[in-house]
Amino acid sequence: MFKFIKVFIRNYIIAFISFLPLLTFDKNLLGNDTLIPIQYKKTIQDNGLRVIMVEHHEFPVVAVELLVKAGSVHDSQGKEGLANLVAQLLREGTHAKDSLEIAEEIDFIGGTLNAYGEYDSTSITATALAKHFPLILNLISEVTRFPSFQPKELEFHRGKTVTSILREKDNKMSIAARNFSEMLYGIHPYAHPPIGTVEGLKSITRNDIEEFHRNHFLPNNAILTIVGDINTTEIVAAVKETFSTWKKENITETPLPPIPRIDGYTIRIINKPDLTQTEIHVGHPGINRTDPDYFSTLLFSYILGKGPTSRLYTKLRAEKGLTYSATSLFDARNLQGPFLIRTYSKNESAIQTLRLVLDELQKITSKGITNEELDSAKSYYVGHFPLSIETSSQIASRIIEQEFYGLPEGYLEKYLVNIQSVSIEDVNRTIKRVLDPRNLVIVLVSKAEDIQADAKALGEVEVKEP
Amino acid sequence: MVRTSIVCYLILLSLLLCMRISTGTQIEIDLKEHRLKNGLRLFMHEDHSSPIISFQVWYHVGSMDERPGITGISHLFEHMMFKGSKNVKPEEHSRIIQLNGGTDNAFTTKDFTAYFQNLPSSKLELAARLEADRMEHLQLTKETLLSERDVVKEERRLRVDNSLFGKLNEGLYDTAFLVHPYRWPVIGWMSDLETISLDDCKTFYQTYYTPGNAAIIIAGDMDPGNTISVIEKYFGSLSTPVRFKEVIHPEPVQSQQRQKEIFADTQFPWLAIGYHIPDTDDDDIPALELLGNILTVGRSSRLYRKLIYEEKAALSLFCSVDKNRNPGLFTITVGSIRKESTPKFAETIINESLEELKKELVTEREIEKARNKIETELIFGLQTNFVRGLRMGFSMERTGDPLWFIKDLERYERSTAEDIQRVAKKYFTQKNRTVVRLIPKKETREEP
Repeated sequence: MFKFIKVFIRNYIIAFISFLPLLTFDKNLLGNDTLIPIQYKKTIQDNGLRVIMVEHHEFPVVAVELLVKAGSVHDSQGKEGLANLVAQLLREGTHAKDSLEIAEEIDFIGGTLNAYGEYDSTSITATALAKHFPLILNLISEVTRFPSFQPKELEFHRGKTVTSILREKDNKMSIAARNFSEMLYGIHPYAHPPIGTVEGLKSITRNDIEEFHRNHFLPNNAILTIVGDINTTEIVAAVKETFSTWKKENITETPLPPIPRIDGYTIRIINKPDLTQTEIHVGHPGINRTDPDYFSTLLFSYILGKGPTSRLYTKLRAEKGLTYSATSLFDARNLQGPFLIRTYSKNESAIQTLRLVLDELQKITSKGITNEELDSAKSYYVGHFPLSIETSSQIASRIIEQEFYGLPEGYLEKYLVNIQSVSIEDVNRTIKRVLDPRNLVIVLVSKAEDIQADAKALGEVEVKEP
Repeated sequence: MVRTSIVCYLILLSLLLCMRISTGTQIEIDLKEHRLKNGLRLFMHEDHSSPIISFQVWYHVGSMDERPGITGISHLFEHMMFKGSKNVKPEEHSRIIQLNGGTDNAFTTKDFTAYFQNLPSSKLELAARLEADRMEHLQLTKETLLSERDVVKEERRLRVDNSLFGKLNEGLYDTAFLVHPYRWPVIGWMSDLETISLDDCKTFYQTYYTPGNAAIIIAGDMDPGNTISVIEKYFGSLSTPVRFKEVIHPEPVQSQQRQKEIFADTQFPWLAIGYHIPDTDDDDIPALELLGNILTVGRSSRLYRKLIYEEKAALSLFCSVDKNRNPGLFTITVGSIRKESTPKFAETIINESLEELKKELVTEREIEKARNKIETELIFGLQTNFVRGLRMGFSMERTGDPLWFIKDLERYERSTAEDIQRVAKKYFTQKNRTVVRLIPKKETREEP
């Protein structure tokens, strides 16, 4: 009934050595007998619940995550923040326990229990010493399946979340992030962060919450992962016993509007007169997680703006001293998540900094990257791989990613070969396809009068209050 | 003959610390120490579960070693360490590490400065060569100082001038301390960042960046014998000049409550209440940590329940217990006090909770819960070589013993409800208290 997949890291790294002519691999990097083999086991329960178990015996700990394939992208219009509010309320009472009893139970064993809504999914996570595994498995099952959504708890979280959103206006990065998403996505639900909007939260009813929970929190819409100092054969029974009464239902797909196109520079200044440093966000919709050029994108994004050797860092920080940090990233989601460059500089040099960002973007798009840069980026990802699968949670998150996005089976095993097989032609072709330096959203959070005149030289500027 | 010299220096100290703690978990940490003739200390923690190592260099210098005029130099200097040395061009250090599949960075605290690279274990020698080069032959030039000074000023604007917590924290230490260098922030005052000179940097380098003032911690997949020979090869010939004399400015005992209001562009006030406490190895620290945990950690904690959940007074709450080289603060911080409430109200609730601790013993269940939380968090943190190295470094810098953090677990075991009551009475007095409030500017404008 289950499918067995054995992953011996040692073996697969060695197996791919012939693909790595550019690298000075040696015995130590490739691992030897001392490397712990990592084994994961995948099962699908009768009710459709996918279960992944990873044994990792180095420390007596366990991490459990239940992922539900429903996130803020499923918030109905006018109810922005619904998915996250549902997640927040899970821990605040079930048919058998109240909020304090749940908190006391998890706190007493020194464990953690969290629930949060993301764009595409909701996660309920728990960690504890391995001997408390039955307790956290039961707790996860209980809060996920039997929340009571008491009106008192709903009002508590509604109030707290509304204040959190209002508080964003005290922080230039949060202001920029919210404006950036709005400008990028328009009427698409990626326009609002999972936490939602004040108006959306105010209009959510207990009925909306129960309905969202009923429609999405289903075994055939969920993935359960258990990682740590556990014995898979022993826990299979525990999982079955705990979750077998969870009933399968039909899942209704939510139709989504298309992601809008950006036309030219769309520039917005958010006026916050106390600021001495300007927050700068620049970008456009990026790629989805299953994009065939995902690895090419990973590599050129590293070259452009990841870490202390990137082009943006070198130009803006190391050479010019204009900023403390300048980064770029692709947040690849189910659909096209954003491509974002983030930096900041004192108001006097903010537009100069922005212009340099635009130059770098133009330069990489028109001229591409060099072989040397590509080799360096590959070395980073290949060498960094063992560092990124050191703990149980790190391993788990990679396996969840593979499962959730429906990446090809064996994706993790082929990770290094996928990195290595990218050619410079692949990267330069991908850059031209994915980057669009002429059509950008530009958000500046600053004291408007300090930067407005210079910003106007770039195009039409909208000035807004936070 | 290298072999012989290794043998005679081999492993001055080998420690295997085994401890069964209250959660019933067995913790084993193996640590070997080797000291070079020039005073450099090398700590090795072997773990072959992944082919990687964390290579860390710890210098015993932080903002507490500064004086007004050059505040922030320790941190600015940390940046300068990436700006090139005799055999490494500016910014090349990180480039080389990344090219070899590693990551690197550094951080500065009040008490020390640490540099680390996490990389494939086969690259041990590379890390040693790069770190030795900048310990001995850093290139300090006017040009790099100018550009890095600007970078650090941007960092200050980010972390302090345009950050609510940054402002609150700077205000708290500036008020609670009058003499001791803990009164200024690690990043330094803006006016000093403007004026620190190349000569200041050179003097700072010569004084503190010496083998005798440093320790190397290597955690992960390595062989101690080979590691010692590599470290001897690259660091053995470095010399330590006459050791500087550490100047300590003890903080006079606070004799009355201090208060400060900071007006900021925020819609929601913040509050910090700090009490002076002793340094890391004092016997009262574990009881204070348990107490802080009982008050603020987890949704079932006393103050979360009262302040956040029942009274809906604020969004967040946390407690920090400084474990520093010199005496620091026990602080409760309340973030984003909601419109329905006021800093005064939050302060009253906190004071009541502290008074309650003086009058009534906490329950055994609360102590056990606090111990479980602290121990479990520690065990989770020990999963990576990097964090294990960090924990050892923090302990070493603050107490001289890299395994202090494990021994602390025994001290939590021994702490009783009576100890918690005793420390509450001893430290949570009005005259030992400093209260700092971050107040929305707009409120003051509206007043007549």
